[in-house]
Amino acid sequence: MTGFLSAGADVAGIGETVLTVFLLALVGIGAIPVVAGLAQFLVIPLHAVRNHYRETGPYLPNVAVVIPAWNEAAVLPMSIERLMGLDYPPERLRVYVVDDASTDDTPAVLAACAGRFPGRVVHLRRDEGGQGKAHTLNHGLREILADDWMEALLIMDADVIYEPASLRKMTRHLADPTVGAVTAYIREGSRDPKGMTRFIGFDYLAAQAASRRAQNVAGAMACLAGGAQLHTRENLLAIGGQIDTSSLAEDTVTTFRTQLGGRRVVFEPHARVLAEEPAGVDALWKQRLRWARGNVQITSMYRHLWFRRSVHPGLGGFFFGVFWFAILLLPVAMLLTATGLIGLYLLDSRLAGEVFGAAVFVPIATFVFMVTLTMSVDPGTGRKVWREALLFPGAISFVVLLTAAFPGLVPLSGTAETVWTLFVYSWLVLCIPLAYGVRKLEGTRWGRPLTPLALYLVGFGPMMCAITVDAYVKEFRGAAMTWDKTEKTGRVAA
Amino acid sequence: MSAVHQLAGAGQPYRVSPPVVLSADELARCGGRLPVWADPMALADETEADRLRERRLYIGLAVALAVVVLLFLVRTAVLAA
Repeated sequence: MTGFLSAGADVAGIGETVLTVFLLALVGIGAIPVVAGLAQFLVIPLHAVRNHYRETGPYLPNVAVVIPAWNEAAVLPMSIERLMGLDYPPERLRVYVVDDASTDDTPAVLAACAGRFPGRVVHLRRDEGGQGKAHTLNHGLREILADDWMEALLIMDADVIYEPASLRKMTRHLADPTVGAVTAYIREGSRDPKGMTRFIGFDYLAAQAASRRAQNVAGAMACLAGGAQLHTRENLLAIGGQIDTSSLAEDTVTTFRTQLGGRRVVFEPHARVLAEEPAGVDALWKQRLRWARGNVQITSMYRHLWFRRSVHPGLGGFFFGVFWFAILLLPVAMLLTATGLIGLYLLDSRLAGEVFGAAVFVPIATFVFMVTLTMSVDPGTGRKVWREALLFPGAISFVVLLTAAFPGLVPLSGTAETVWTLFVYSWLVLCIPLAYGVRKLEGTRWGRPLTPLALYLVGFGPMMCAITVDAYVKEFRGAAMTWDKTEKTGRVAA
Repeated sequence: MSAVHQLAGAGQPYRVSPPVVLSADELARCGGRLPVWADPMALADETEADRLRERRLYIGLAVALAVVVLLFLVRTAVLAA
């Protein structure tokens, strides 16, 4: 009998050890995106020496600018005016606006622009529209490629405004015959950014100015910015002369096809472009859901590429694969970490506290490092959005991190301590449905005054995670691929 | 899916565009000063300036590391107190 009990105790002990190791493994796996983010940002300073500037040349090709437009009368005049004023040889620049059967004043606005800049602004009209940006672009591409004038093609959005020197700073990279495409640094360009647009301002600073430098260093670009992608004619022809219409991420497909065709894609951080971005949660959700669903589709479309350097040394590399999946699976990682911590707490609260206490400084230091480095790549924008940078994970997360970094800050004991600890461990997951709630709140009658407050409390980062979860669900259900166009009002400061 | 072992265009000569020649009228419209795009040396200088500007990333790295170290020291001091 004693032997039986002893054996039972041994089995229970082994089971507990196995469970503890499993839960620790969950916490460890959940930390991969943090490590991946840190690795990516540690690479950024290498762009000072590992860049493409020494391989550029004074190349000023004939550039056709193609602008897909649907009801863009409010923003087109300014965009075209700025394009015509670019510091670039005028006879080497033509603008083709592909009007996707607009129902507003777009045709009249374009007629006025074409009259003002004869031969340099071309209006291409589709009689039946609504199929999405890729179809609209393809209509323009067919017309432009039919003529051999074009040597390089700039795809941009109707609301985007280029700084005067930006185009020639992009074309210089095309002098290198191994380069197929170049993208620019898109910045949120509202005259008076507030709330959401400030968050997007920081998001673009991190995802474009900072992250794309790391991708330059790694030799693999995830995505050419939809509003600023310059292709050589050879590259366009090599990828089929058409933009992909089978996914919601046509820009990413174009980027991958270019690189898989053996051509390089370069990010030019000093070619600066201003864009109008959504000011409301719902508009942002629709835009980012399209992007997130596109990324899920790309992951499946290129499933034979990941972690296979034999297919492509950059895109198939370990660094790029980890970077890609760290973003795509971030909500899963957050769920694993929270599950691991809560499980450990229920199993052995002291061990959970030790693990959390020992490990918590890593994400805090990573966050502080990433924010500081991101703001340093464009200090002008950084000074405008530093509050949103600190509150990117949300004010609640900020307090959670602060109390985790300085455990004595909140003197709690007993039940209150247990509740607080469980809240801290589960917040990584709780913030996702709450972010969804912020979107729902915007649609209510209290939405206007309360949504900005809720956004700052819950955070922009959790909102991106909630959108990614929504993308998983929509793709799993096979939801229709609708193109929810972001409304543009001409807020961009020229 | 095809494998990429060599860059397309490797070994080919660099792309060149014909030189930009400005007429007297065009030059006058530019205020009498040659625009940057019409002067290959100015274009090269601009690229060199951008290349050197990238060295500011080192300053960013130094500041970011300093902030993290400072945070670590403050945390250590607070926890020790």
